[in-house]
Amino acid sequence: MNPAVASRTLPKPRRRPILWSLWLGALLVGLTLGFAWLGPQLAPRDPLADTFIVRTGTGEFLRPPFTPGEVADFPLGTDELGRDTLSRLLWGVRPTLTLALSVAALRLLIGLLIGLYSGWSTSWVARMAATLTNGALSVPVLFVALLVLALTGQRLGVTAFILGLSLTGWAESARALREQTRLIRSERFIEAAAALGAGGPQTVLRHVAPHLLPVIWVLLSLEVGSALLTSAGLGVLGYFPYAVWLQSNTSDFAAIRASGFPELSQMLVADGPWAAAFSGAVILSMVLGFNLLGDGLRLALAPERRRTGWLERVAGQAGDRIFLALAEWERLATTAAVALALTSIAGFGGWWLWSQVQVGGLGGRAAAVPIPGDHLWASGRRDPYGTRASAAPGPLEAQIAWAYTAESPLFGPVVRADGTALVVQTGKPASVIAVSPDGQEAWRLVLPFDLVLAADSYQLRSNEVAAPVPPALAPDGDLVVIDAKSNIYLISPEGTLKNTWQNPGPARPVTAPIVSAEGTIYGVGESGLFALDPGGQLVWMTPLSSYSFNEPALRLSLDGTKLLFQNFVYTTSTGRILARSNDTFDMFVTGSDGKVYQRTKDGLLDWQFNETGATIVPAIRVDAQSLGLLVRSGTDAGVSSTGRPWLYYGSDFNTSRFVWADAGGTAPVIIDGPSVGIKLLAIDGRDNSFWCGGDHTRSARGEINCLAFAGDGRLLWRAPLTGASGAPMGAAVIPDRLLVATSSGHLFAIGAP
Amino acid sequence: MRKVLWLPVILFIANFGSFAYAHFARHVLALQNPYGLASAPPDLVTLYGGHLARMAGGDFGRLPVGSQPPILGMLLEGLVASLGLVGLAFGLSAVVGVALGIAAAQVEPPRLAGWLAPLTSFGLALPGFYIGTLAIVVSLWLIFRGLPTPLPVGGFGWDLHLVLPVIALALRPTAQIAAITANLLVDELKKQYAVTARSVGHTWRGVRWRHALPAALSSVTLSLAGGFRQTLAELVLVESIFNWPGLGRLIAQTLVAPSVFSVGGADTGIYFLHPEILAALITLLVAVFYLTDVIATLLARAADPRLRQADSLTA
Repeated sequence: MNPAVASRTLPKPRRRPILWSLWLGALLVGLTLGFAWLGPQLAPRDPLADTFIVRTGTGEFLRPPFTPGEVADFPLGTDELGRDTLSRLLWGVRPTLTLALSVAALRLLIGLLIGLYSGWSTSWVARMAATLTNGALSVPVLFVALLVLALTGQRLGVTAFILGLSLTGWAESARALREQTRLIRSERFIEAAAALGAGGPQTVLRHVAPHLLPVIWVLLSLEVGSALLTSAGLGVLGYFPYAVWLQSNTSDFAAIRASGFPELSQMLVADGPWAAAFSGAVILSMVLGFNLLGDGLRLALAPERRRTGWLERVAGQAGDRIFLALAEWERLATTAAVALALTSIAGFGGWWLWSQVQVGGLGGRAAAVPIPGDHLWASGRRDPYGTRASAAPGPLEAQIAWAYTAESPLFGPVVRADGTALVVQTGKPASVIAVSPDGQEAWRLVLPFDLVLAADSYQLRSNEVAAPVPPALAPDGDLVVIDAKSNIYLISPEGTLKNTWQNPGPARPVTAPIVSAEGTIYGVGESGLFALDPGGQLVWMTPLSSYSFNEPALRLSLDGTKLLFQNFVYTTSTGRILARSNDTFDMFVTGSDGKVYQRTKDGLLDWQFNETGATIVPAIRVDAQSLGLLVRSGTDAGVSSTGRPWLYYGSDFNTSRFVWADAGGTAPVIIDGPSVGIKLLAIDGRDNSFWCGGDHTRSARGEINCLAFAGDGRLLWRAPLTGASGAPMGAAVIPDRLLVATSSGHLFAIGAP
Repeated sequence: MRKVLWLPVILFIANFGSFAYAHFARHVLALQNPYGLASAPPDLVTLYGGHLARMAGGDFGRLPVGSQPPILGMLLEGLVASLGLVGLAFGLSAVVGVALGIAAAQVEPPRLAGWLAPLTSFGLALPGFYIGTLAIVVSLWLIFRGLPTPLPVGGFGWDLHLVLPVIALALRPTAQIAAITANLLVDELKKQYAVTARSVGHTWRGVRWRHALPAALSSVTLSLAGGFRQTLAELVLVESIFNWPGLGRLIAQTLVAPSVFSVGGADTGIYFLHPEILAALITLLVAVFYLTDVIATLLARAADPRLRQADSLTA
């Protein structure tokens, strides 16, 4: 035919319309994923850094909040605390998207299982599943999420959000997959497969499931958009997935400050109107992107387009060359292996996550500093480094395994490697008692001095101490006891008095003694710090530089070269002051990670000692003001055996507060002692903390209660120490047990019998 | 008819279930208190029996605060406020949505208008409460410049206070209704009878209004029911952000813990997990959802003679 004629008579082939929704959606989703990955690196500022006042180029002083464009350094403005909105948006994409993807994946998985089954099978179970799907569809997901969150509260954290958003959220996917399965089921090739002898499961896996893949991609995109919208709605109502859970009397300002970790749904209400507008726009673009992508995929993968679509051609060729080239049994084996691997990963991962939640452990593998002599608990704070953190798991149940009763207050306990607990019984004279692991008295040694726990610290007699002074275990098993004049007594493992050292002071002990790995004994009396060699000879003595203490503790650095006491660092060789902090409320501590930290009012500074001095690296910082810590005195700090830093604010006149300074202190977990007198005693290898207390005046009134809190702040158990009264004098965490000594003369073992 | 007969059973289940949930949740939360304010688990049968007896006498309980106003009165006030808002929003979304859907159904060949997809995509992606956020920002911008704000952003009133909440509530259902209506209409216009009607001389306008739209009406009615349910689902958020004293805000107050940072900033702990209030709210919601489904089904059958015929055949 003449081409000129052909061009006039034949219709021009119709151009396939461009799927603008697919490409626009892919662009927006790509940007979202890019910002989720690189957002923190792109952020120009620290999202939690406050800005108090700025001076503009015209010389004007401005205080936050800044509106967009008002200050050049903050292009999108700030919230009322001066935190940069742009940086917070860039940081906030990742946690928001993580939650949405998790929820979408879970919804799709549940929807696939239910939809596939109810669409394929005609049994009554399948009909029940279809009815369940219809029922779940009729209830708005937001209502179900609110019901779940009202029940679980914040203690389950993000898990509660995933649970609430997925409980009925799978229904849309299930319905779509059910309809699609029914359509496929009516196809001729399914009938042919059945005629050839294919069983139900085989047909579903080999013929039905592959045809659902395009639908699944579409549904995944739409589910992410839906999850984003619902989580944003929960944020508007006040449920933030990554928030700090504060008490109801906390002001809105403090709530804003403590919930500082940037997350988009939180920024809708917590950061001011401009931040809300921008975060809403980001959420809108994310939802729009996923919805457009889902819509575009639906069109791209539609049957009428599938035959010519380049996406399908590429995917088809890849499948033909790789998978279909295998033999029949190889394909089956490969599919089975992949399915088994994925199921194992999902199952093991789920079991591991569940077990962590169940046992209240949030940390990783425990790695506490070793105790010289491999004892289970060698001093008042576990080890000569004062970490308080055991690698062993503590008791998960509030059962009293046994109770040992003495006639007067008990200090300690310390626990040898064989499980024998050693306590000092006050009295005239005092005694050392060894208690076997089953609660029986193994031996008792009467000491050559009187030791009395004073009822009133202002009228101390010569044999009285104002605070408990637990003994210490030396590496060779000797017990080191200090009396009311800071004299030292060495007791052999068999219960005989080996040696004594008379303090030249004499003066009351300020804190309990410790023993280094080399066997050197360190102690603090009111007259000064001293060091004794293993034979009990004085090595050095140096006067104290301060005389005001609040729960003082003596610690060693892990390398044994430094002695830490309050805001001073001494050398262990000579007792010379090596370093100090000018703030008398600071203290130096050793973490379970082996580092030396300076504990400040609101954080930890890592002191990295070197030949010429030390490099100080900020480790963690919490918002002391909004967490109500400025009015409290920090009494301890450390790093747990799982590597989590913590700060402790103990008090005799207020409730004590414990802070897990997660994420550098930006996402703290706060645990409050339920009443005055309840204090932190120990931390186990799962980051469970153990608290005990009774009447805060340490009088004989008031029952003592012990509590265990998980690392996420949940209360694990509460155990009243029946028969005991007064106050706890010390505790020790050993495998699956918590030993508590009381001022009423009891030693309790809490844990399974 | 059978569906209506099931309604009392469903309402009883909803009422008891939510009442039990509130008591159970309170018990669970109280157990978290280390000093055990909770005692034994609640005796639900006794508690619910008493609640039913009081309800039969018209007593839905009283709020444990101040002058202890009756809960029934508070619920009725909220119901009136919410019904007004939902009625206006749904009416607007139905009218605008159907109109957009009809306008988007193009002919020769029957296809969807190009502007429908971006409009509905944007509408479905836009959270209703974001309207309130943007309104607040615009109002602040105007206030800082000494200009009057054209519309109030929060509060109650059967005047301009309605504008923003109604728009926020109507947006997403409008997009959904428009998309579904357009798709249904285009499907009808592709069918043989429409082509035949056109071939015998009817205009496309006539085909659309006299043949396609009545045929699609039953499905459009069902999509309107879906839009109504979505409106109700959004009610909680919209009433919370605009401080509209309706049942949606009350649901938020009963299910959002008082220790959580709230938009209003007020401690509303008296409502949190209040069994009588929660039971009444959930029962009311279930009744509305269920009746919406029933009414939509009846209207669809009334609009489509094929469904009526199918019913008579099966009967």
